[in-house]
Amino acid sequence: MNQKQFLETIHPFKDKVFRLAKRLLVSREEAEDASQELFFKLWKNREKFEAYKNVEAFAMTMTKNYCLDRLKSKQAGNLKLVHSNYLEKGPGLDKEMEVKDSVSLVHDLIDQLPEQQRIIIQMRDVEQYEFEEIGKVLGLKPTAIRVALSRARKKIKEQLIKQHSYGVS
Amino acid sequence: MESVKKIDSLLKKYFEGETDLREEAQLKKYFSSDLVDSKHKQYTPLFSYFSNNEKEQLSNAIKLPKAKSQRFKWMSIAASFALMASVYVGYSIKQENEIKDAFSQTQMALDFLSGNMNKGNQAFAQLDKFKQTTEIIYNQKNK
Amino acid sequence: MLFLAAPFLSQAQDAFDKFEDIDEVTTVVVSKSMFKLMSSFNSDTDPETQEYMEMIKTIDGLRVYITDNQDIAREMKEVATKYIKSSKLTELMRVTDKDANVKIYVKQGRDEDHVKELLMFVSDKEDKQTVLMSLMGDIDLNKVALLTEKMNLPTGGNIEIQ
Repeated sequence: MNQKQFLETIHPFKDKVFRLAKRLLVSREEAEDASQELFFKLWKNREKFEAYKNVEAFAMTMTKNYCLDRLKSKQAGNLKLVHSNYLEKGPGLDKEMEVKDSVSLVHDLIDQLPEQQRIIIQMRDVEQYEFEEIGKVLGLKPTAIRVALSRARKKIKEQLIKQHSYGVS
Repeated sequence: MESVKKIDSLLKKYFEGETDLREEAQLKKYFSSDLVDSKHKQYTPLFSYFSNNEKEQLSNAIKLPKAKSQRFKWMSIAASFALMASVYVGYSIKQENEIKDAFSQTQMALDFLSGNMNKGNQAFAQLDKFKQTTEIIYNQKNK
Repeated sequence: MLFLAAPFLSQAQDAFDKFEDIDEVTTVVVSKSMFKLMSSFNSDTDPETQEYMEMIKTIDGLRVYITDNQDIAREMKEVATKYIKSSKLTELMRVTDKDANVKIYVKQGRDEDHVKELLMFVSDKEDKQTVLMSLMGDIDLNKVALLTEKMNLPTGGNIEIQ
């Protein structure tokens, strides 16, 4: 497989890889770096493509693993600190909330979710993968995926209702 | 467009994680329209977000480890050809020279042999006696 | 001991091989493959060169051994004598004059005019040079003689290898 063929192969899902990386790593810059790393790795492993029926699933799994590792090696504390601003402060929420528009609020809400739920929301609601596909990437059964998905969506729902009741449009 | 009731039940399903992709698409469509019921309005950001987020893309082109190794491969192949060509040319020239040398040496050897044979031939005219064997060979010349 | 003296050496090439490595011996060897190359070589068409080219086409191998050293010369003579016997070469001619002793031996070829093999042994009295030459092929002796006859070269003389 030459480079041209490789790029053609990964073209359909290269942005999905990026978006998942960004979902997990939050920063666009980091996500770009991670994506580059991942494609590099994929290129090195291109012989394995034959063995994988679904290169996309393989790529997404790699992305998940890579990003989760990155998160672990970072000061996990740091990340949580940033987001706990939203979660812990109850009524104080409205101050920060007022500044942001509601759509980017949703973005932040999702980013605050535990990693696994984040991945599932990203893969289902944004990328529209089937539960079986998501299950392959996470190593979970579709029923477990649904449960986690439900939890995640409900959490967002709660925040949105709260938000709405504060009268922010 | 779906009825409010229908949307209600879809939403319920949605938060239970029970909707399929087609139903989720329906919800997205509803929430992007102008006909969102007031009681549903709080969810608009969610579904708008999902509709838009798909569009986020990598800004930079993917860089793969370039043909530095490939370049090297081609260079070394080109070098090999150049080397082979020069060896061939060198060899051809050498061969040609060797052939020329061999030719002149052969020429000299033959001349030497020939001279010595003729020595006998010349002497022959002066000799009374001569070897039987020589007569057989040189017979025709003397005629 | 036995195999050293044994006449498995049917070719002149093998019998005289040992002289090649001796410092005081000048050796010229032109192999069969070289003869092939030469005959396919497109040379200019001057008639003189053409004559040699024609000759070359009939030769398979040439060996010349030249020495000034008397001891080696003696040994060469011994080896030559042995070889002539074992290969059953016959004497074509020999000439002795004030300059040199020349002996030529041959093995007859396909007819009276042709020889398969030729061995020439020359001892130059004046310069104390000894030459041993071996030719193999399908050689027309008349043609060999003709090479120099016409040109009226001074006969014999020393052979110089450049």
